[in-house]
Amino acid sequence: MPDEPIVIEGLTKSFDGFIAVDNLSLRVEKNTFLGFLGPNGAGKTTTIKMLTNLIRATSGKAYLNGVDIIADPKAALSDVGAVVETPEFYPYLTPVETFEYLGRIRGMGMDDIKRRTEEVLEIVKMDVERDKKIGEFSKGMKQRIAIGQAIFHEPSIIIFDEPTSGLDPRGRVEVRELLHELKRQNYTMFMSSHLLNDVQDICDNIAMMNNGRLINRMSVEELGTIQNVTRMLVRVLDPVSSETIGDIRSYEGVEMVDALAEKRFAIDFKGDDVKRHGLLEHIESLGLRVVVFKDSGNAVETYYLSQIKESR
Amino acid sequence: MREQPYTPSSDTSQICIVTRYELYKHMRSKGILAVIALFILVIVLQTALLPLLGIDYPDDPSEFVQGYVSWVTLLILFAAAAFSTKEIASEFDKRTGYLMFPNPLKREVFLVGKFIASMFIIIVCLVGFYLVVAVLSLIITDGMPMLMFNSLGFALLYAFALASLGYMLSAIMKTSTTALILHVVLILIVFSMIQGILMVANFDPWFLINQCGDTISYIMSDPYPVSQPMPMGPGASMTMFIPDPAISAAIMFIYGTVSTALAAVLFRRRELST
Repeated sequence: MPDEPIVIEGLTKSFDGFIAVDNLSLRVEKNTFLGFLGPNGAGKTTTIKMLTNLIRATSGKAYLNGVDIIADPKAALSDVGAVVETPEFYPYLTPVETFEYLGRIRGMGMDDIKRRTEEVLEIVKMDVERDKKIGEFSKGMKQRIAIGQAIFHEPSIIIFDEPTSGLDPRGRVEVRELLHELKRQNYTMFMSSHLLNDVQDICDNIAMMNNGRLINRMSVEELGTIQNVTRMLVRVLDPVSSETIGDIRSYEGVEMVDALAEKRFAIDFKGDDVKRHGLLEHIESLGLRVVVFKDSGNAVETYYLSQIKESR
Repeated sequence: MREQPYTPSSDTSQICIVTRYELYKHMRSKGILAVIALFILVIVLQTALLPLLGIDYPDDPSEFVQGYVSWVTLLILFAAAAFSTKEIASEFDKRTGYLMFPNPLKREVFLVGKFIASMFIIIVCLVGFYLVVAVLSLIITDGMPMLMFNSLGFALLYAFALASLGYMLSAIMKTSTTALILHVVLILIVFSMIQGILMVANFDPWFLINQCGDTISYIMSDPYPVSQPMPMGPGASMTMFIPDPAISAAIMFIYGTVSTALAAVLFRRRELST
């Protein structure tokens, strides 16, 4: 496997004159997870569709494991698992038959197909429904099967477009756990998502798109150092007065205070851990009995919003 | 993650795999029940109506079989429409393409696998129909005309042409329902109208697929009929053109191959952008 399993060079897609993806160049290093971010209509899904042979690029190149997806899609997709949007399944097939169908196409032997069917159905928590027709499944159940088929042949590259779309909160947690497991197993992942906290938690790198253009690409680690404003969530025992909010607002490093509820507020704070501890002491010195004082953990979200706003 | 990735199956193996799972689809669909019901209905009506109306069965086996075979073009049309027109369009409008296209599977290979499955089902229905008719002919007329095999051959060619046309329309149209309606309307109304108008104008419509399909029934006649003028009122006449079997076979083959090739090109170029 090459050091950069996913290479995109000057990829452009236009639909009747509308440029959906504009000269996109991007590389994903081996064994890393890239979070592909952007608002609706930014060009994320169009890019993923070009990478997975659903649509053709107007110009530019894309390589998966060193193979040009446009020139030889069969070879390029041989070691790739993908979930694009929420795919539909053949309603007359069961999950077991669907995995067998796709496994055979991908060149798996029957022993491997049987072994992986058991493993994957357990991973995506669909082993009870194994012999039911997929036509009877809910959207969330189909999404689980979609994720299952993507990892079925243990590909080195996984491409996910909104993998938690259509899932209930429990399903989202399970997908998050699955992604963590895939990360431990050194897969290379290209994933678009609107769940920025998940991206921050799971991905090594992020790439942001807006209006068809790449506006930034950096590591999540790097983002933490440049993004020095943190949103602190605070919950106290007693109601907070507007004077107290004013006092907190005047403390050094506080950029903004949002009263979220009678006993909850959020502080946008610029400063290191020592200064943050000072802020906590200041809040307590105002007579507030602090129950929760935590980092909202959404550096990606804050950065994302600022970048999208700037690029408009 | 596997150290050594799987090598995708060869194109030929993938055609067999796709055919197998497409056959599952057809066997588990309501469409096959409807088509089989239609085939049975024709056999039952043709067999039961004559005695019910007090008409004797023809003594000549060829004439007896021709009564059934005259329905075959219509049966093929419905079977071809049921098993071909949704095959490509549904991958887009039912969104199953999102599952299949990101796989190491060429679209042409996918199409060929689907097409073989469609043809297999249509052939099974047709051969079953001719088999039942042959048995009925043996029971009722004590004979089975060998010309039935010629008729079956033309029926299979006609099925190939109509199924290919269905695939081509399926590759063009946005939805499978539109492709199905267009296929039936095109053959049943548009081509039939053109065929009728050309005959009135004394112009041989040898190139029309409907005209070629009529060979399935005409071939049962011995000797083979010839084109002849028919009076159409005072001073006017039209020609009842009878298709030449060799030309009809060639035309049906051309319709089939050209339509399949076009379907493959259109399917390959079509984008799943919605």
